Amino acid sequence: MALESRELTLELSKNATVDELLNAIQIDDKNYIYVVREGIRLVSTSKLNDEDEILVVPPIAGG
Amino acid sequence: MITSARSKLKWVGKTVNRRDGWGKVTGETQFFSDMELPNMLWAKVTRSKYPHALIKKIDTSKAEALPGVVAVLTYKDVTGQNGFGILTPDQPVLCQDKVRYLGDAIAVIAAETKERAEQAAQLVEVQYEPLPLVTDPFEAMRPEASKVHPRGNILRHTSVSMGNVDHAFQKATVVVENTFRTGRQMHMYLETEAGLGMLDDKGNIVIYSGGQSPYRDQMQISRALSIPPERIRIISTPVGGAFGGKEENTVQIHLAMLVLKTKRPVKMVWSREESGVAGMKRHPMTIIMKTAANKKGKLLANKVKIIADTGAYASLGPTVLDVAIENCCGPYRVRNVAIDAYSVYTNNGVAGAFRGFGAPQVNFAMESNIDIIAERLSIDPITLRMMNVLRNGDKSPFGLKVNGSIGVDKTLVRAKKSRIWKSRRYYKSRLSKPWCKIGVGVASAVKGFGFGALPDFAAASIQLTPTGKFMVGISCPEIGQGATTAYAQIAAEALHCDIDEVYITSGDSEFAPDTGTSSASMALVRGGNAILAAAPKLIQTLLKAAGEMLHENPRYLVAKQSQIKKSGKSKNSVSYHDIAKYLQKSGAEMKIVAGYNVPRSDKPVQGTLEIPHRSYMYATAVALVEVNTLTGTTKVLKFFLSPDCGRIINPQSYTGQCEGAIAQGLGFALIEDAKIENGIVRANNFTTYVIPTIADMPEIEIDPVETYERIGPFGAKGLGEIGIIPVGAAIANAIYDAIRTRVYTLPATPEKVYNALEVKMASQN
Repeated sequence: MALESRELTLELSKNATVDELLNAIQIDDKNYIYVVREGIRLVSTSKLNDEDEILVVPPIAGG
Repeated sequence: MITSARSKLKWVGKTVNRRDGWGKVTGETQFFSDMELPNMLWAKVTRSKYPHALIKKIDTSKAEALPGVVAVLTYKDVTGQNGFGILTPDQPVLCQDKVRYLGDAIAVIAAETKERAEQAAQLVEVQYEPLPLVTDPFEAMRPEASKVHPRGNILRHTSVSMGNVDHAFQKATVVVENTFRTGRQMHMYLETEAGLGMLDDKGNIVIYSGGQSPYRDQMQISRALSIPPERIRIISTPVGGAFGGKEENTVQIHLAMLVLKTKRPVKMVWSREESGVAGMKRHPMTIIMKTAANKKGKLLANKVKIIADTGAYASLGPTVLDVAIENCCGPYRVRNVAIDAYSVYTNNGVAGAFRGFGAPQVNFAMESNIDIIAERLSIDPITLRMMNVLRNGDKSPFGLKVNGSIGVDKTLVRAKKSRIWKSRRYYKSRLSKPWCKIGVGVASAVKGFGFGALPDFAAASIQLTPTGKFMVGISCPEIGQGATTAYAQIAAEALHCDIDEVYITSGDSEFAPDTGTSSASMALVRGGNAILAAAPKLIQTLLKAAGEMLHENPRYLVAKQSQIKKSGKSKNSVSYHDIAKYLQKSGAEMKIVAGYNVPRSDKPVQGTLEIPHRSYMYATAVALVEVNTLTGTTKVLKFFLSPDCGRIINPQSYTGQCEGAIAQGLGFALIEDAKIENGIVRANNFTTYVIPTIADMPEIEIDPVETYERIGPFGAKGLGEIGIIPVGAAIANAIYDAIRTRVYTLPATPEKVYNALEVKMASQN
């Protein structure tokens, strides 16, 4: 599983955190990945909710 | 005078004086390069003496021994990843074993005075082993070329094709093929790359630097120094000009390193020459374009090869190439396309983001070919464009429906009705001197705003102050585009209050959530939509509190004129001020953070990163020029621009953005090209690199087309870049109209125009 996957449905444990999400999708470089819910960045300890849509964004910029 | 159709709104669509205007006009604004702190050190970078060489040895002993020198840092002091670059961190923070351009940093020094820091930078001794230079991007792509990076010199190669170009060329009545070249434009901001760093009372790093994205800068420092991002605060407003050139890290990591080492405030200001050598540039491009049309003028095919010189490091080169690909067919329906594009490493400085982001270069090529086709078919150039231009429901050259509002056809109508176009025969007959020829040229343009298919997001905070006013936190810095004022207008509209009751804090990572970058013509849309996500939530809090205070059901209450009142004619109301006092007393939360995921296309076009964009800006420009055939000098006399940037938020800022874009486009078209010979920048200050001044500015008319863009705040789109894109092509087409010979390389300097005239005369004889 890598960042190339554009959409992914995951089952995580109840009260899973962002850190667990990143482990589940095998992201090593966790410090430089933005994890976003409804436009707001989350921190590694943020709790995830059922049905959350989460954006996992590497450092990007375009024009 | 521009006005907006949004007359029912109180603040949006109205001219509101720029919040940053007075301070900047009077010189009262303190930029970071103006600031000084007690006990402050000065920093200076030791840069490479060779454009391409191996480093055999670095000796800092003489620099360290110089009295007044406090720190001399090298690659050994980079505690994290020794590389920066938003997309690909391939540029060393401090070089260890190789240099790839003259701007490469080898050591960074902190000293008691600026002069002592400069002196010490010269005393760092570096032993080099020069390598063969890579200065021609075509040569760089050959397998035997010296390699700038171990993986080779092609940073990115992408091919995109739709339909069948060869078949279309066979069917065509007219096929034109030309090679176009564009210059290496420099940003030439009034404030060079600069900043101050310090430690706060908790030992956290604070960087004051006029970048375009505090959170990206924070990330890059964190990555380079292995420090948690939350220990780094970035303050990025005010910025003394950016235009894309401050989207990448410049001084920030070096300042952070020196602050940690010395535990004292440190200031770094790049000299103008240093900015010229080490700073970002616009990608010079070679564009080979073959365009075909049938006898009625319908465009049939476009075959394009793009070679972009990205210089020594990637920076945003990969996405600049995408935007060039996306825009190389202009705002037209073309069914058959074959695009082959390369971004190539060389030892020619570093190219990256610059207003237009690859679009002005390819627009020059496409709009020149369009004019050539129009002439061959004896069709009026605006009529030919109108026949082919994108309209609602059309598919792009990539076979996808073009999303967003499309008003480019209307901009062409405005261009046709413009005074310059309507009176072109009159102007052409009024020669000031027999050897001065008048010409009129037109060009249309398109560019997406935002990051296209790439994921993007934005958040804002709004806090009710104890006095019933609002503090809005947006991290997109004010880079001179007027975003802060537009945010205040949007917030005042959404919060139903007076604009003076809204304070905007922009560009500070401590006081604002991540709103993204001030780039890609997107700051207004990112920040504006984030405010519109947060404001209703705060209003709900106010309604609930007012319901408790008035003993009314909040459902029957409305927000109006800084009050919550009962709907209808009832006078039962409570002011925001009183609600704030009530909430404060009850200890309730008075701050809302909300955001949104920026809408994007489902998936990118195969082989690309960010094509297609979710929505686009459009424009048509008309230029009236006078060409002196004795000297080759071109003077732009009048310029007309009709942009479609959705609904106008602030007419004054709108006009300013358009006029600034035209000025910068005029430089791209006629004057600006940072010559680099054998890796050495030959033009790196205002003496050798000339930009347009007030004396060069033509009479300008801006005639906006207002469309309603669903994904923008109150229907607005971006605006920052579209104005510059058609300027080069419109001027080049006007030069042709004046002298009946074409310039294929921008800038169209007097030498190039004169040479084109000489070639024409020689061919006539």
